[in-house]
Amino acid sequence: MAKGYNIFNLVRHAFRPNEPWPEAWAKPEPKSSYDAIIIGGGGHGLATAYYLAKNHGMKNIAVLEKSYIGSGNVGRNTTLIRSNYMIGGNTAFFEFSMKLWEGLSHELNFNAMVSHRGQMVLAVSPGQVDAFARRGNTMRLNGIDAELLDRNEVMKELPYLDYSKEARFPIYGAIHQPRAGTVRHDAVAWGYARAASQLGVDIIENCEVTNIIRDGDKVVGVETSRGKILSNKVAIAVAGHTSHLAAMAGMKLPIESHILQAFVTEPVKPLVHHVVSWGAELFYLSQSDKGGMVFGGHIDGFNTYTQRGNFPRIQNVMECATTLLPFMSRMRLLRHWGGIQDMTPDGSPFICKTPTQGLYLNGGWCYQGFKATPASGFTYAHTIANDQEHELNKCFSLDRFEKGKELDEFGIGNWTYKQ
Amino acid sequence: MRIPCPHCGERDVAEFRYGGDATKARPAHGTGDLQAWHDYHFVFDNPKGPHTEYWQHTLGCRQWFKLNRNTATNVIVPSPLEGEGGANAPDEGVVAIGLASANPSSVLRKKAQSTFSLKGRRGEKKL
Ligand SMILES: Cc1cc2nc3c(=O)[nH]c(=O)nc-3n(C[C@H](O)[C@H](O)[C@H](O)COP(=O)(O)OP(=O)(O)OC[C@H]3O[C@@H](n4cnc5c(N)ncnc54)[C@H](O)[C@@H]3O)c2cc1C
Ligand SMILES: [Zn+2]
Repeated sequence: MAKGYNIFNLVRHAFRPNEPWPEAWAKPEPKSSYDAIIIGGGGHGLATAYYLAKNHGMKNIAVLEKSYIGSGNVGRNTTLIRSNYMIGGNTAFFEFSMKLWEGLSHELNFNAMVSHRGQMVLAVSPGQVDAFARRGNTMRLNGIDAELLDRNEVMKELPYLDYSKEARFPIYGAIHQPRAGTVRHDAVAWGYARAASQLGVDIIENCEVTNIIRDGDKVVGVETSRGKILSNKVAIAVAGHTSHLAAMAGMKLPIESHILQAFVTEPVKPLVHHVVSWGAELFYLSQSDKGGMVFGGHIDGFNTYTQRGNFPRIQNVMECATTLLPFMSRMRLLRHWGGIQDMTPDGSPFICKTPTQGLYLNGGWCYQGFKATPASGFTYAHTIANDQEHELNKCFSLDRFEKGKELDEFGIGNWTYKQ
Repeated sequence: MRIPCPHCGERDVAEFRYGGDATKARPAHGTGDLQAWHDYHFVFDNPKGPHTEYWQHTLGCRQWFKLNRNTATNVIVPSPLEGEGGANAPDEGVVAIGLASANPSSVLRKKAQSTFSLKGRRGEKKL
C-alpha cells in the first residue's frame, strides 16, 4: 500500500518507469465483526470512516461497497462546491464543509485539485438582483464571502454571455462567491479511501448488503453477498438506494429516487474561468481542467432507478446552454450520463439516528451531496461515535417534517420531483 | 420514454407531466390525526420495481390517468388488477385537487369505446 506521497518517491518512480505504483488502499477480506459498519463506499461513506478513525479513535471499522470505489454518484457528479445557502442550519453546515475543502489535499496527502475559481449566479431580471442582494447579505452576516456584481462587472468577467439587445435572458448582474469552485471528484473518493485505509479501516469492495439484522429494536449486523458481518453500529450512506436499505430495517422514508443527467463537450482552450449558473432552470456550467465544458440542469422529473436519462431534459439543458452562452451551439457533445439521487420533500438531507438503536442514516442529498462530503463525513462520524447528533447536523433529522422544521431552501413545497 | 395516453395513444414523455404515486390514499376529509397527514405528504414507498403513478397529458388531451411503470427499467406494464373503471376511480382527495384517473391499459385494449373512469363522464355515456 502506498504510504506517503512526496517528492522523493515521485522521483524514485520516475526512474523506474516499469514499476506500477503500489495500490492506494488495502483490499482485506471481511472480518466476522466490527465496532462499526458503514454501508456504501461513496464520498460520504469513506469520509465518515476516515473521520471515525481520525477524530474518534475507532479503528475496527469496515466500509462495505457493493461495486467498486467511485462507481456511485461520487464519480458521476459535476464537482461543484459552494456555500451560498440562506436557510438556518444549511448556511453553517455548508460553510463548514467549504472550510474543510480548503485544507483537504494537505490533510489527506492526496491532491484533490480543489479549485476556488468562484461561482457566478446570473440575474436576468431586476427582481432577481434584489433577491441576490438579500442572499448575499445573509451569507455575509454568516461570515461567508459574497459580492453582488452589476451588468458591466459581469461583462468583464464573463465576456462570452449573450449581451445583445435580442438576448432572451438579459443579464442584469450576478452574485459571486469567490471561494466556490470545483474539486476533482474521483480524487475525493480515492483520497478518503487511502487515508482511511492507512488508519486501519477495512474497505471491502464487491460486497453488497442484502439485509440489516436486528434484535428487537437494536441493530446487530448485516448480511452481505460475502457473508454475515456483525456490529452494533451500522451506518447507511448509499445515496440513491437509501429507501432500499431503510426498508431492510423496516423504515419508510421521506425520500424518492430520481435521475439527474450531466453532460461534457469536447475539450477546448481555457475560456470559462468560473462556475456559471442560472437558478431558474438550475443550469450550471464549468470548464474542466481537460478543457471540456461540464454542465447540467434539473432532474428528469419522475422517480426512477435507471441511470439512463430522457431526451426532453437533454434538449432543455442544451437550450439553456445555447441561450445563455451562444458559443455552446458550436461545441460538440462528447458524453452524457446519469446518476440516481435521493430527493427529499424539502431538498435537504438527513444525517441522524433512526428508531432502531445503533442504526444511523445519512441520505437525501438531492443535488448537493458532493459539496457536503467533508462536513457530512465529519458530523456523521460524530453522530455514530457519540450516539448523538453534532451541533451542525441537528437540523437534518428524520422528524423535521413532523415538527414543521423543514429546510425548504427554494420554497417550492413538498415535491420531491420539483426540488 | 414513450407513454401510452388513454386518449391519444403512445406519445413522447415530453408531452406529459408527472403527478406522483397514485397508490397513496389521502386521509379522509377532517382527519385530525397528524401522523396520517405526515405520512401521506412526506413518506414515499419509492420501490425499485413496479410503481403506479399519475401522469397528465399536458400537451395533448390534458387528461390525468394512472400508469404502471417499473422504476428499475422504465418499462410500462399493463396493470394486473384491471376493473371496468370502478377500481380505478381516484379517491376523494385526489378529485379535490383536480386529478381524475383512467387505467391506460384497459383503455388501450378497448380504444374505440371511451372507458376512462371519470365518474361524471361514465354517467353521461349511459344517457
Ligand atoms: C449528474 C450528477 C451531478 C451532480 N453534481 C453535483 C455537484 O456539482 N455538486 C454537488 O455538491 N453534488 C452533486 N451531485 C450530488 C452528489 O453527487 C451526491 O449527492 C453524492 O455523491 C452522494 O453521496 P456519495 O458520494 O456517498 O454517493 P455514492 O458515490 O453514490 O455512494 C453510495 C454508494 O453506496 C453503494 N451501495 C448502494 N447500495 C448498497 C448496498 N446494498 N450495499 C453496499 N453498498 C451499496 C453504491 O454502490 C455507491 O457506491 C450530483 C449528482 C449527480 C447524479
Ligand atoms: Zn392524451
